[in-house]
Amino acid sequence: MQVYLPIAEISLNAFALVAVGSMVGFLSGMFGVGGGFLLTPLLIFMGVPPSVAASTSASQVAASSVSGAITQARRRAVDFRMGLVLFGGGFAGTIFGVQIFALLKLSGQIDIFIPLIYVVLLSTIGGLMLAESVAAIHRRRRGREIPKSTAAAGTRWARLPWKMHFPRSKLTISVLPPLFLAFGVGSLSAVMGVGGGFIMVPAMIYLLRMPPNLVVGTSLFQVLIIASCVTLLQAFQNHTVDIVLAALLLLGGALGAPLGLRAAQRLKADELRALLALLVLGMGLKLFIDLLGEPRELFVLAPGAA
Amino acid sequence: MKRPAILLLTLWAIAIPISAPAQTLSAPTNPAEVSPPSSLPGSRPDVRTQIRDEALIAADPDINEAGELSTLLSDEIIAVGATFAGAKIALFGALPDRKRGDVVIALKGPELPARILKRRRILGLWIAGEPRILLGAPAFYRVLTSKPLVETAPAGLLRRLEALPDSVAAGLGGPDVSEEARAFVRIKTAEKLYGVEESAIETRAGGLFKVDLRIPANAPVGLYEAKVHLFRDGRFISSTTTSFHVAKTGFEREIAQLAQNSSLLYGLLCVGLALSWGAAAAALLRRP
Repeated sequence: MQVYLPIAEISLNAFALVAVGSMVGFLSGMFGVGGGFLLTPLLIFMGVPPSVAASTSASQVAASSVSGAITQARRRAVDFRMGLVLFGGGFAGTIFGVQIFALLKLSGQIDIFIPLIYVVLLSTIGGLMLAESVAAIHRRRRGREIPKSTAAAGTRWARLPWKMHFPRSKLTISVLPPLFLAFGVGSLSAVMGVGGGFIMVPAMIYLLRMPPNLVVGTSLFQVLIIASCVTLLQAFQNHTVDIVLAALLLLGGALGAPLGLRAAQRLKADELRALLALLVLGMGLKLFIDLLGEPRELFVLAPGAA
Repeated sequence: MKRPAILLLTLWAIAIPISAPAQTLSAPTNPAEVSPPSSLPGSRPDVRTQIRDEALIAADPDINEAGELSTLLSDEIIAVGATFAGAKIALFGALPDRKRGDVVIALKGPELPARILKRRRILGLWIAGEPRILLGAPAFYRVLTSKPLVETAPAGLLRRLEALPDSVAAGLGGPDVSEEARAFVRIKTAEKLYGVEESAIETRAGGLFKVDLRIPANAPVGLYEAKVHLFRDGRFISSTTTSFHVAKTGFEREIAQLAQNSSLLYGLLCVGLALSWGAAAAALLRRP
């Protein structure tokens, strides 16, 4: 069934959109990521204008993370205090990222920058995660003791000021690392049109040394707030959020997210990380190959004069 | 001499929508749902009467006496609703003097600004470079003919009349057609927004003709202009222009307007929708 999308100004198959939404929702429930890094390229591939794809993805990311975040909160797997610190940094980062985006757009470099940053980021993070999680699986299989992650946290950022206690994570660290981390991810997510969970999850594990069982929930909470902000900002400033497209993706996402959560419970944490790493790496590789091969059409057409 | 032709044209114009309403106005896939409630002859009986009146006015013997080319559209608006998947408008016409001729129609959509970027190889990667802005290019441009173009008129003449898609490229590039302008036409052709449909116009005895103007689902909204040119023996005889609108209606229109005019409210609505659906789904699926 074809449905006309009033902002994107094209008509697409409604069932295909619901399917895409549920697939992304499944992944977001499973890994605690918003899924924007998959959804935005998928929508562009289906013919949605890039600006509408990125902005509308944000609303889908917000929705799929709300169902996940509620489930995780009920399971007491969200560190709200950490979430609020991350939100503070993330919100500032989003505003900063929007300025960078506008600057790049003005100089005409945005179309060079976006695919490159996608490739660099996805392959770096995917590669690092894959190496770590495969090593972790190996260690577990051989029956060796898993290094305690929380023990290292106190020493790693020990010299930084403004210490804060996070009772839920059993962490006492300076607020600076999470603030800077969230700022960086927030600005990146504004430029790339993603929620940033796929960066947040590994960063919280490896940099902040948060307990892995709290990482998914807290990341979902942070992604939820940032994605809501991005949706509102894009709708307000750029008029690029398509509510009909969003509704169809949401329908799928609402179906997929709880299934993903259930699937995640059957897998071990390191296996889950390895899977996410493969997914991120695969997406980065695909974009890289796209940039490598000589395109059939040397020109790209984009609407608007700006 | 003129009257039978006019009568015939009018009867034909009326008879076709009556006998096959889906054929004249609606999308090929889902005729009933595409039909806009406000502008379909079927749903508002007075519209058809109005069209009939216009047909009579358009085919007024005093006007046609001078050998004018007269045309008639089956509808003046294509409504873009929730299930819009393309539509078509029938264009009827009568040639002057009831004689046969070769007809070429250039159907042009709204002119929208566009950017075109050329990919270059940087460190082995194909990356889009700086955009070039194209102004004054129609977002939709299709040429329909009654005979293959080569048999109709010389290419130079057709280009001057803007009845060849590459005349758009010529118009964009100034005196020398730029690589970008040619690429623009190439991409638009691949998207089926530009192109030529030869022998698509049906001609009948008595100088009557009929053609379906197809508007695909990816065509932009706005004013569409059909320039109808008549040729005889390779020579240009006359031309006339008729137009119609492709417009969002109902729900789709409300949304587009809300997004544009009350963007804060629209944004809050989007966020609210996203959060409430997500929350509802979580609540619903909590119980296995």
